[in-house]
Amino acid sequence: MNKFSLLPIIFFIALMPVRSQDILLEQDVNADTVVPSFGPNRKVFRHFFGGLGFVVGPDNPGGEVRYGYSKEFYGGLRYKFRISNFYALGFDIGWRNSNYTLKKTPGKILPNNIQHDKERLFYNTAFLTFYNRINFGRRGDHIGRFLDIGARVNWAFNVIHFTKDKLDTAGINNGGIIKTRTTQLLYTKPFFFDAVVRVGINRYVFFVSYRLSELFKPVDPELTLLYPDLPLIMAGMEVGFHK
Amino acid sequence: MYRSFAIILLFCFITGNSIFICFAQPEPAAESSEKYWIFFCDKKEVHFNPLTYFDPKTIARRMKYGIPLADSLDFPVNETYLQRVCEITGSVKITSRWLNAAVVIATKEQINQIIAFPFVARVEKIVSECRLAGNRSSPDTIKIKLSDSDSILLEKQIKRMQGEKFIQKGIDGNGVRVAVFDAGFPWVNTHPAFEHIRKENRILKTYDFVKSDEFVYDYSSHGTGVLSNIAGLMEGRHIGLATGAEFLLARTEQAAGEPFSEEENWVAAIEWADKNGADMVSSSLGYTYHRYFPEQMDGKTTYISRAANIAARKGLLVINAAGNDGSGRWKKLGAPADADSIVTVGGFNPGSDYHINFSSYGPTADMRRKPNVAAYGSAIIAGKNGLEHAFGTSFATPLVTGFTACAWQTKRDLNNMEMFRELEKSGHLYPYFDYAHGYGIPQASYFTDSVFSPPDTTFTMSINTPFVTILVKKMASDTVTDTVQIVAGLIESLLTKSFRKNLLFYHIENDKGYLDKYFVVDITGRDEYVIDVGDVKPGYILRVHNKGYTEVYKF
Repeated sequence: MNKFSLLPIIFFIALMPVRSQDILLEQDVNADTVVPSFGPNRKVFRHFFGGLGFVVGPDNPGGEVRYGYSKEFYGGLRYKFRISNFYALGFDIGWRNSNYTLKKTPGKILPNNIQHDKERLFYNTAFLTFYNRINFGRRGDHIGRFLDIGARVNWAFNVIHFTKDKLDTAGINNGGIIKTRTTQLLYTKPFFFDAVVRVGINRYVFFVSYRLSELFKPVDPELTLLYPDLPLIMAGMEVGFHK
Repeated sequence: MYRSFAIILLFCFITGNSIFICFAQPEPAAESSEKYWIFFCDKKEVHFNPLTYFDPKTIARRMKYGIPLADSLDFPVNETYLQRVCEITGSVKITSRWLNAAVVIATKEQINQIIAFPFVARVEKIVSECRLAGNRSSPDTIKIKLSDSDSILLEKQIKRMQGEKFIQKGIDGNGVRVAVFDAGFPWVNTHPAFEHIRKENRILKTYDFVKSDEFVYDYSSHGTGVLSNIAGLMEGRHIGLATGAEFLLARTEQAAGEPFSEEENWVAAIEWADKNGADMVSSSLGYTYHRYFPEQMDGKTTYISRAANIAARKGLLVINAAGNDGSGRWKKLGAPADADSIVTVGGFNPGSDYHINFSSYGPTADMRRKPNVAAYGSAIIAGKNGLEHAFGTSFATPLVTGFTACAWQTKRDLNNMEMFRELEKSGHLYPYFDYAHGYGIPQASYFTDSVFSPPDTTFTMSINTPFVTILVKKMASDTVTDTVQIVAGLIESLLTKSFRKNLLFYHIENDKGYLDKYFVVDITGRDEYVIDVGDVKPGYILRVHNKGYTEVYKF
């Protein structure tokens, strides 16, 4: 519509009584000048974060994984308590979804020796990390460059063994693919622990985690034979959702 | 594998690809080398001849303002000290006469050797941040055709300062030398908006403090836009007012993004500007949370603010942007806008004619009044493709710089600080002040009109504690005027997406002279407005402003 065709309407509106009493700008200076205790380099800071990591550590015979496909997503809330300009303590709480894609190998025994077209172990875990942060360089109210060293406890509240197979004789079962999801696995431990190292610049972080405890337990307590453990090391990238 | 690759790509996309930008320009390659300030103890046995060192204009300025031709601050850094430092580090990046210091890139081991020298007072590490890439392309075709709204804005950014009064009288900043510090000036050597300056060779000197050479016509286009708001002229249309001024162009920044800055280059550049006879310095940058806390914005903590104040003592009028953190976590102005002897410029919204939301607020950490004045924080600038629309106090600052050069031309007998005070007095809100608008937008009539006519009384105040009633005065012709104004405003709003309102500004000043609260209220069509002053104590002041008229009540 031609903007000038609106002129009669504008004129009509203009003749109507226009009354307003809007506060367009209001500033309370005293409230502004209080030194805050919350901020990236203040006493307390918290922010959400999310990350993506890949399995990089060596795997074990019988439980080989496909690198590149085996990965984890995670997200959470991070608290940081400043001790000095160069040192802080903190903790994270969050959720991780780790996916170990198992390789089809002749000697595979995890969790059995059946060969599937696709086979994965999904770990849904809640985690709590305690960390020490060492900051580098002078900075203002800003995260800056840092090194985090911490320990993480994970609660695997839901572990899924997933398989997918293409049927050779498609149509016999009125379908071509079989997918299975097995839960409440008897051979997984509910808790496991990691050491975590993070290096970051402001919101961008690289991390490496090293699992300190095993993921599996014997199905039968009488048996001492364990499944081969999955790779211990994950590495990836994380973003802090803050300025 | 393709899925994983896609996930990585998505992750990078979500994070704005900044990871790669950040790491595209790593730290200097030298093995674990960092940048340091080396401060020296004294300037013993240093000889200095100001007559040969300074530009004749610097000498004239100092003589005119009664400033000593040279004092200990002007003496150069002791060459022997520099040589001793050079023997260890190989080179010195920058020296500062005023701070009696040098910037070096050195390893920790080298710094330990330097600290041991008896002539070194102290050493401070300089924080470096990742930098944005500069724009290196050149303009293809120059477009001067603006949209209706941009065309109106180009006119308004000059008219709001009554710039036409300077233009009509032929006042163009002639004889005033302006140093501009920015992140690069691409196309200033080719763009038609600067043709009048090039023709008369009024870009006297250039220096790139980042690369240590004289070529500045490249890198970020931010400086090109800034210079155009000082002195740009395209097809007879003013982009800035000081079209007749002389210029010194200094590249002090790697990029336009304010946080990624080089404080030490700015310090070196302002000494260079002083040496080369600048009357004014225009700088559109600020240092905030990357290096400092808001409580450090007291004009004394940062080197850049200290250097800005020294420059003011040497007779330079420094004009700096308040910053663009008004709507962010930082909110307050940055350094060097916190320096008390420099003009800090805030931003107005051309549509609403009050504070533009991103313009940083005052006061300083020690509660001094800032910003001092303001201009439009949304302006038309010269850019790659001719004329462009840009936002930021970065562009309000050069508009004020251009204005000030013209104003100073009318009153060349004033020194820099007198000019500073006159500039504040020319603000359209003066004597009203607040920490968002300063004294408002400078008005050329203050400098061009010989007869001062007091503003019409637009309201009266009725005090009935705890309330103060503002009674808006209605003239006989007000109904018609209001209607005409509203219609005009609505037509303009169609074109500029804005609506002109009748604004009432008021603040409460406490007994220490600081503002406790301040407001902007829309009273369009109202007969009265009631202010609650229940929490106001004896000795406090209520100051109210509407359409040029200010009334004050002391409790």
